[in-house]
Amino acid sequence: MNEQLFNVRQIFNLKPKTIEKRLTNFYQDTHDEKTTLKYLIAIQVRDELGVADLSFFMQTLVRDIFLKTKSTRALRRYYIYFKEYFEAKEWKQITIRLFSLKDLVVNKLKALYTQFIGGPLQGFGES
Amino acid sequence: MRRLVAVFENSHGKRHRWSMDEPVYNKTPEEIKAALEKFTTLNLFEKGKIKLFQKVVSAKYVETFETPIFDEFDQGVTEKSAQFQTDRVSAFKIEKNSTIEVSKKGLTIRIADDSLDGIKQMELDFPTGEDIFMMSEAAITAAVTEILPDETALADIYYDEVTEPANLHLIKEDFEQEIAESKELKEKPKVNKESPEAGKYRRKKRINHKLLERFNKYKP
Repeated sequence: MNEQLFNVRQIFNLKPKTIEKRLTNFYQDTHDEKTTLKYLIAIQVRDELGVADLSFFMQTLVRDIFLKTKSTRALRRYYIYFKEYFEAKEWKQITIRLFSLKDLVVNKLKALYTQFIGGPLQGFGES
Repeated sequence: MRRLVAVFENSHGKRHRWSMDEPVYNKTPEEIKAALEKFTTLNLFEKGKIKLFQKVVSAKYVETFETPIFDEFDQGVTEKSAQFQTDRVSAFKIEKNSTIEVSKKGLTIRIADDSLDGIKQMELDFPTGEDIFMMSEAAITAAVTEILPDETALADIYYDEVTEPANLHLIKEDFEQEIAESKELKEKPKVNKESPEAGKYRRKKRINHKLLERFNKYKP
């Protein structure tokens, strides 16, 4: 396990400017969308509970991640928390992009395959 | 200084504390809980192999009071604390039934019960726009403590809705009493959220501590 970029105390106490700098560098180095988004959600919690205004923190980075990178499971999982960062039209596009019909069909087929073809064969082998 | 303190459970089922400076006060308990639960979905922070912040257990506001006694480098503090004893009542000595406007929150303070050793009870008129039944207990306590002078402590809050703007009554403790009693009282400022009975003036009975002590002493 790699060393954590921030610990809890740092997320809640560091200056927004410092966090922004480090997180940007981290994303540029690793392109790890999942961890980056998680830190951004932690900062959203800080914004919701704290006096300091951190709404739309690092909006450009968030928009970059959601508009330009490939759809991944992490993106689909956390995209709901970033709705306010986008306009309604863009949001629709992102939703379509992330949950594309192709993905849906592929996933469905996979499920069907394991259910009817993969599954019985395994079961057959055991019996 | 106020903090928001929450207790979480880690992946081993043990509890750990988390706190935050400068929290907001205008959030309802549900909103705070939702935000903390959002934090638990992340699985981001860990200590060794133990994952922290797995489940929210509880959350509370904790307030710390500081009273400077002396300071070798700042003479002002030492002088202040010498005056403190004499000033603390007179600084806030206002005639009975007089009012002070606190512009910040739009509240009006009226001194309802004024005895020789300081003010014991105050009345607050909330502006008509604010509905205290909609406010959370923590929010009311926060609004009230904010406007109190530094040397006083909030012992108890209760309110009654006699007419349309509802009155919020405060029982203020003298500072010396505060030291003795604050531990018990400050942690649980209670707002009686009973249904408002129109026209009835309700006053909470104060606990007779001396009697209780005597009772405890002679208890077999």
